[in-house]
Amino acid sequence: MTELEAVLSSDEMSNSQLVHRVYPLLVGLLLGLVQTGLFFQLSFTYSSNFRTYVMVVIGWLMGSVVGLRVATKWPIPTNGFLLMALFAYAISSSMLQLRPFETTFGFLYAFLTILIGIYPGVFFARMGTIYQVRQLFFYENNGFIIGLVGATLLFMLVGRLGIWVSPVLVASLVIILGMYGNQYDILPT
Amino acid sequence: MMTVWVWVMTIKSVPPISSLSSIKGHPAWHRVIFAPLALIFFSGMNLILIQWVLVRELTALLFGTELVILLVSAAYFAGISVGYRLSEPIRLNHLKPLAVFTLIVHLSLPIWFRLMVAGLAAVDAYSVAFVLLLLLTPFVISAFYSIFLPLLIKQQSGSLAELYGLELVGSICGVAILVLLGGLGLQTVYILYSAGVLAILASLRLKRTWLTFMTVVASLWLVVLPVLNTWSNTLWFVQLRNLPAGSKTVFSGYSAYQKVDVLETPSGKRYLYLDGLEHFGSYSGERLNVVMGQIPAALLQPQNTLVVGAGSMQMEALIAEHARYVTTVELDPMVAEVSQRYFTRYNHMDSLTNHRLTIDDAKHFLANTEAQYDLVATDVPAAFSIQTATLYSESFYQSIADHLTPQGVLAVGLTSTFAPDDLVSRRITASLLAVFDEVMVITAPSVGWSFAYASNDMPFDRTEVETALQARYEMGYVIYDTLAVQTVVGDAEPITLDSMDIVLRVSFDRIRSRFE
Repeated sequence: MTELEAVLSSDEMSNSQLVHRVYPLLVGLLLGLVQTGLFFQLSFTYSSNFRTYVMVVIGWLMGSVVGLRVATKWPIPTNGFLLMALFAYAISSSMLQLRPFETTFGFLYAFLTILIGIYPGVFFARMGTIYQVRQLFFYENNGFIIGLVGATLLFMLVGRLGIWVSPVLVASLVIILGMYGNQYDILPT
Repeated sequence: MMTVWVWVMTIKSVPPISSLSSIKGHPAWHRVIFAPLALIFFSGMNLILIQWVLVRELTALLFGTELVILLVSAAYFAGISVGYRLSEPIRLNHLKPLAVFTLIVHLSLPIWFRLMVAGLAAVDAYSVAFVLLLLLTPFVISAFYSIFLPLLIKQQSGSLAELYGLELVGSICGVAILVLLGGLGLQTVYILYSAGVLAILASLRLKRTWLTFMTVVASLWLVVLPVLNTWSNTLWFVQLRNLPAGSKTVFSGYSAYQKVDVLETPSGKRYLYLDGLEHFGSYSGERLNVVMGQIPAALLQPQNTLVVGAGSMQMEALIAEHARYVTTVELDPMVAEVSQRYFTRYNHMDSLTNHRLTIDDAKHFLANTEAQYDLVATDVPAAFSIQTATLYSESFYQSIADHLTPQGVLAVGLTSTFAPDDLVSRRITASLLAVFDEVMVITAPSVGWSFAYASNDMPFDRTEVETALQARYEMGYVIYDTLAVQTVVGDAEPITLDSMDIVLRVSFDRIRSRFE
């Protein structure tokens, strides 16, 4: 039994258990949508070069390491980092629309990708105190798979609108759920 | 496999890991794990390296389309979920045999995947391979490495932040290895991959004699791998691509983007395959280069010509006979290198003096060049993926139009026969009509599909095209002028970045055809 489950009454358990499972799943879904959406936009309006792929992967991973080891200690709620990631995603999308294929913006996109990657790092570091790690990663990864598939299908069927709007919708749900019982939108312990 | 069985039989009394939870320093635990940080780091690194091999190999075996790439990626990540799930019930004594199993299966992955697919295709059951490989992938490829993170955190070998951070650093190193050494080939990547698995085995306290034995076995395997790799590759192509017996693999490699293969038949004919799909080699492919490159070049006598996509670069040679300068822009350096090395009989790159090669994404190249061209020809794969579909989009054609001289011409393959009931060719043509005032479509029987010339001020007319076609032994062709083209296209929508459903349709049709 996790710390969260230990303090809840049985009536509260059904709702909280549902939220408990859905929350990391939704975060994974959001991350899948954002990562795939970012990669598509950079590939098709910046460059399809292998360097773009490397930039997204390395930038995301570096951001996550920063989130895990450094940013998680900052006195900013988890949802604050989510909003920062969404903002960075929106800036990237806007710049790619306004100035497509602009080579000189490469470092800007790398920096914005690192900013986005900070959120998953902070999320895992903080949720590791609430969840069994195995469950946390399992639900998040399943959500990520849905996000990966969903973003690709959305892009093919709806176009860029799909990969612009869907992260905002899912992020709204994550923010709302994050505030549920003040359990998930937490500050460092 | 024998060693795996021996381990399972001799240490089966060790308890499940879940029963050791929160017991830092439990003797059974310390008997099994020696260096948890190494375990985590090399898991992260190897996850990236094996993904590199898996995605390219499996995508090629299943004839890569966007849906195949998506399914392969989803299967890989599903394996990671399987690993997280397994981290609870798994027994400590299973970890070593699992690591050995992983080393054996992963190092032989390209070989047994190809043999399995070729075997199933031989009994007319290719569709089974399609399902089987995607089902196997989660369990035998990625699951193993994701067991350790939740396991070690539970055993208090470190905090989540420390251990997951280290795994991510391992992944970053994996990407760096691919960037720096990936071009040296599968053998090089596998040497580092094997080192990673052996480090994991050492961390799992595998006995020194066994570790030495596994190191020797892995080393010997890596020595013979190139031979087995070539043999199984040829077998697969002969079986799946109907090449004649006695054909041989001249080149096979994983580029940053795809699997690139060159095969040669006993008669000396060479074929270029990208992700298992034929890009050059057939008679119709050569004819396509004639009608899309040589004929417009002969009619235009261009100063400056751009060819988008290298392929065999035969088109460049045919254009170079009539043009002052020919530039090729190709995304994948391996394709260009293979073309220059193995297709000189077709492209004469060893003697051409008016040809230049640029490695870049064509969209990015056009957006950043000020050059103007009299002729632009495309030699790109069909719209099997979103990536290639963008090269048939209205926005891409607009960027080409922006770099054409006033009477410049764009030559485009329509990837199928232009007809009122063929959506793909109609949508590509709709993209052309959205940008250019004049579009002439020609269906040439020797090519097997249609192609188009597009311009805002076409410098040649139908009669001149007919004369040029006949001079190059093209008979039975059909020519549609702009009005007829508009009629056939009808209400078909141009391909844009916001209407890529054509990729889904093409992908789905390709997969369905495998099952039929």
